[in-house]
Amino acid sequence: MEGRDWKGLVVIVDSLDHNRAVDSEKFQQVRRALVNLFDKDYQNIRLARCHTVFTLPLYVQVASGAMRRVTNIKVRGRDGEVDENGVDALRALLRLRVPGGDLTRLLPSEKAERELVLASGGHLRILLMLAMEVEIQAESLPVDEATVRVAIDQVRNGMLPIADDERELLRRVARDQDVPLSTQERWDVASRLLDQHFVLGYQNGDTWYDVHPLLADEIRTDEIG
Amino acid sequence: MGGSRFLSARGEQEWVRLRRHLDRSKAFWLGFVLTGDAVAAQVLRDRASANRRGRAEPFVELWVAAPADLHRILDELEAAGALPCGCTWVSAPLLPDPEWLAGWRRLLLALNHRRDVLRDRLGGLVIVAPAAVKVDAQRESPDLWSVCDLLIELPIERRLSRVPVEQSPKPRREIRPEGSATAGLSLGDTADQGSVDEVIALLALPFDEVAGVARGRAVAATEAAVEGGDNQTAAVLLLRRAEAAVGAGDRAGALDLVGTGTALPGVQERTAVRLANLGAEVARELADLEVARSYAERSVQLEEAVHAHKPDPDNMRSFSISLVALGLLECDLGELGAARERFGRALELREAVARERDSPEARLALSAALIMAADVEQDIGNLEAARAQYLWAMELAEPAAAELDSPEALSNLSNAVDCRGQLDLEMGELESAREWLSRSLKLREVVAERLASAGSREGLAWTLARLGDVERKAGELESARLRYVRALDLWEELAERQGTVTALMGMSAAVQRLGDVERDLGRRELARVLFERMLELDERLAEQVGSPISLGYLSLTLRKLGDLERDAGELETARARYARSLELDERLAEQLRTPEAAMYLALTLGRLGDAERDLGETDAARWRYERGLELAERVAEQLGTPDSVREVAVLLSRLAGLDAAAGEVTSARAGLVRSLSLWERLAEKLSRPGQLQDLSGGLYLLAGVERESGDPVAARGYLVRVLEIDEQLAAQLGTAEAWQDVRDTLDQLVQITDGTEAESYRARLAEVDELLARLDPTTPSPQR
Repeated sequence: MEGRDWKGLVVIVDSLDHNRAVDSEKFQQVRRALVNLFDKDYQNIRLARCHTVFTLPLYVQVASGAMRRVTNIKVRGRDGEVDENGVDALRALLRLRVPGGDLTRLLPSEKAERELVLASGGHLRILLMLAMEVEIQAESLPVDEATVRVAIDQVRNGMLPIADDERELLRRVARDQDVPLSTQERWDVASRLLDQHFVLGYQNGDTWYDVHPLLADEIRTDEIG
Repeated sequence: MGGSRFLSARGEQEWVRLRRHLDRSKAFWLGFVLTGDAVAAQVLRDRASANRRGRAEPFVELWVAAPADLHRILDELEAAGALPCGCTWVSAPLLPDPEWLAGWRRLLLALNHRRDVLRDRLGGLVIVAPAAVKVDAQRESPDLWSVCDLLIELPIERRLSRVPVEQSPKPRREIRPEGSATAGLSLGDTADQGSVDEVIALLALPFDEVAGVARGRAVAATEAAVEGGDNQTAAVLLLRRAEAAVGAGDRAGALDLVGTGTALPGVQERTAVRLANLGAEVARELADLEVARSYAERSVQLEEAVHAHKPDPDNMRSFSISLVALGLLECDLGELGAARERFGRALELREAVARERDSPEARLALSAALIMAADVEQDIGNLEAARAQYLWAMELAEPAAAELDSPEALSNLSNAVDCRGQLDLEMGELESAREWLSRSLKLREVVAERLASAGSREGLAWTLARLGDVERKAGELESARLRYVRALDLWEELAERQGTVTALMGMSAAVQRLGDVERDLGRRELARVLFERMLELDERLAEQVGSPISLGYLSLTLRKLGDLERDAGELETARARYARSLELDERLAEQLRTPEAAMYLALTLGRLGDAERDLGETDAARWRYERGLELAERVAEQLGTPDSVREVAVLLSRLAGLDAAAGEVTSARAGLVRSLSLWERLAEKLSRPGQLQDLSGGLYLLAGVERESGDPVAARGYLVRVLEIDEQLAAQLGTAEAWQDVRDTLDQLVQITDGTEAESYRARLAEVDELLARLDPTTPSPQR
C-alpha cells in the first residue's frame, strides 16, 4: 500500500474524555491516572509507525505530543458582537443537512436561521439538536417563527435547572470569559460545566470561554432577581 | 376499551413529539420521559405500543420492579431491545426515593459507557423515570445527556379523577361539518354560550388544525365540557379529535381518544355508535382484533336497539354498516360462519333500503354488501353461490357507476369486477380471469388517480398481483414479475406512509409472489433472499396479530423456503420448515374448517412427506401422503378447482413412487394411471405450462415403473409423449430448468432405444447440452 504519497496511518483513539468520576476525590484520581498515562507511559501506548490522535478531556494537560483544543464555532466575539463568518459557516452546515440544500423548506426566514445558529452558541451538536427539535415541533413546513422559538425553549429546558453553585460559577465565566479554575485541582467543577455545555470554549488567538447563550438569560435573570 | 384517561394539553403536545420520533426515526435515538405522573406515562406507553403494532419493527417493553435490577437491564437491552426502527421502552415505578434514584444513577452511568454498542444495535430507546433523575443525568452522565434526542417532562397535573354523570342529555345544536363522523351529532345542553361557540368553532376546523395548531384548544374544550358535566359535548370533541388524529396518521392516539370517549357515561346513542365504529376501524387497522371486536359488537348492539325502535332507511343503513364492520372482523378472526350471518343480515337491510330509495347510491351500497357476502361464500367453498352474488353485484354496480361517475362508484364497480376475475382464476379459467382483471386494473388506475387514497392504492396493488398470478399460470413469467414488482412498490410505499398491518401483509403477499416467479425463472438464490426477508416480518405479524391470515402467511413463507431448501439438497432444514408450517396449518384447519385451510394442510403434508421420503423415512412419508390425499380428495370433491384436483394427482403419484420403490409395481401402476388421468384432464382443460409440466411428470414416472417392471415398449411410449411435451414447454418457457427436463427425457430414451432411433436421440441430446451450457452452466439438475 505504501507509495510515494503515503503519509502514514492515522489512528484515532476517541472518547477518553468519557472517563470521569462524579465525586471530587475520584475525579482527581481519574485525572491523575490519565495525566500519568500520557506523561509517563506515553511510549507504551503510542502505536508504532502510526500517527495517533487521542481525544482527551480538557482537564488533562499533558506534556507529551502536540495539543490541539477542539472548541466551538465562534458565532459571537468576546465583545458580544455577531461573528458573521461563524454564522455563515453554520448556516452552510445546516443547508448541507437539509435534503436538496434548501433550508427554506424548514425555516421561514434568514432571521430564523440566524436565531437558531446564534442559540447554538456555535456548538455543532446543539445546533443539530435545535434543528431536529424544530422539525419535531413542526405542524407544517416551513415552520413559523413561533415554532423556532418553541424549539429553542425546548432545548433550553433540557439544560435546566442550574444549581446554585453552578449559577455563581457561570456568572464568573460570563464576567471573566475564562473557566473558574483557582487551581489545577479544581478542574472537577470546571469540567462539569464544560461537559454539560453550560460553558463553551472558543479560540481567538488565545482560548476564551463564555456561558452558553441558551443560559445567558437565566444568569441575567438571576442577577436582576 | 380504555378507561377515562385524559392527557393534558401539554401531554398531548409531548405525545406528538414522541410520535414523530416513532414514525420517522430509522436509526438509534434516545428519549427520556421524566415524570411523576404514572397515568400520563401509561397513556404515552400505550399509545407508543399501539403506534408500533402496525410497523415492521416492534415495541419492546422492559419493566424493572426493583431498584437493584435497574442497571442489570442493560444486558437485556442489548439482547432483546428493538432494532431500528423499533422502540424499546424502559420503565419502572416512578418513585423518587433515594434507593430508586441511586438505581437510576447506576443505570445511566452504565448506559453512558455502553451507548456506542447500543447505538449500533438499537432503534429508539425511551427511558421513563421520575423527574428527579434529570439532574443526575445532566451532571453524572453528560455525554449520554448530550445525545438525548427527545426529552419529555410532564409535571403531575390535576387530573379529571371523577367523570361527572350527565343527566338526561338533550339535543341542542346539530353539527354540520360535512364528511365527518361528527356530522349530524348534537352537543350537550349544559355548557354556557361561550363554551358552545368555542366547541362549534373547533368542530368546524379542518382535521389538520384540530390535530395541529388547535390541539391545545381542543383539549381545553374537552376538559371544560367534562368538568361542566357535559359528557355529550366532550364525547363529540373526543370523536373529532380522534378523527383528526387518524387524518394525521396517528392511529394509536386516535384509539386512545376513542377509549376515553367511550368510557364517558350519558352519551347519546348516535355519538356512542360513531365512537365505537371509529374504534373498531382504527383497532382493526392496528391489528388489535379483540379490541376491534369489542367496539364492533358495541356498535351492533347500539344500532340494533335504534333499529328496533325506528326501522327507517337511515337506521337500516347505519345498522348494516355496523354489521359489515363486525362481519369483517369475524372474517379476520376466522369465524366465517358468524361473518356469513352478519353479511346476510346486512344484505337484507341493504336490499330493503334499495327497494325503499331506488337510487344509484342505494344500489351501489347493495352491490358492496353483495361482494362481502360473496367473499365469505367463496371462503367457505360455495363457489357457485359466490359467482352468482358477484354477478348480481356487477349488474347493480355497472349502471350505478355510470350514472354517478364518482371515484367511489367506480371503486365499487372495480371491486365487483375484480372478484369475478379472482373467482375465474381460482377455477383455472385464465383467459376469462385475465379479461376481468384487466378491466378491473383500468378502473383501479382511474380510481387511484382520482382519489389518491390509501384504499385505492391497496386495490390497485391487489389487482396487479392477481393479474401477475394469471400471467404466471399462463407461463408469462417476465410479465408476471413486472406486475409483482409494481405491486410491491405500492405496498412498500403504503407500509412506509400508513404503517398499517394491511400494508405489511400486502407487502408479504407481493414478496411471496415475486419469490415464486424468481424461482420459476431459475433464480433460486434471489427467491430465497426474498422469502427470508419476509419470514422475519411474517413471524412478528403472526405473533403480534395472531389472526388466521397472519398465521397463514407465515405458514406459506415457511413452506416456500422449505421448497427452495429441499431443491438445494438441505433436507433437514427443509423438513424443519415444513414441520413448523404443518403445525400452523393444522391449527388453522381446526379453527377455520374451510376447504381452503384443508387444502393448505394437504399441501404441507405432501411437502413434509417429500422431505421425509428424500431422507429415507418412507413409512413416515407414506403416512403423510395418505393423510394429505384424503384431505385433498375431499376438497376436490367439494370445490372441483384445478388446484385441488392437481393436489390429488400429486399425492397419488407420490404414493405410487413409494410403491414402485418398494417393488409393488401393480399398485404403483394403478396409482400412476389414476393420477395420469387427472393430469390429462387438467392439461386438456387448461393447456397451461403448469398443467403440461405435471402431465409430463406423471408420464415420466409411469415410464419409470414400466421400465422397472420389464416393459420397455410401454416405457418408450410414455417417454416419447414426455419428450413431446417437454420440448413444447422448453420452447415456450426457455428456462434452463425446462431444457434440463428435455435432457433427462432424451437421456432415458437413449438408454432404452437402439439403432437409428437411439442415434437421433443422442444427436438431439448433444444439441440440448450445448444449449444448456449457453443458458446457465451452474443450473442444478432439478428433481422431476
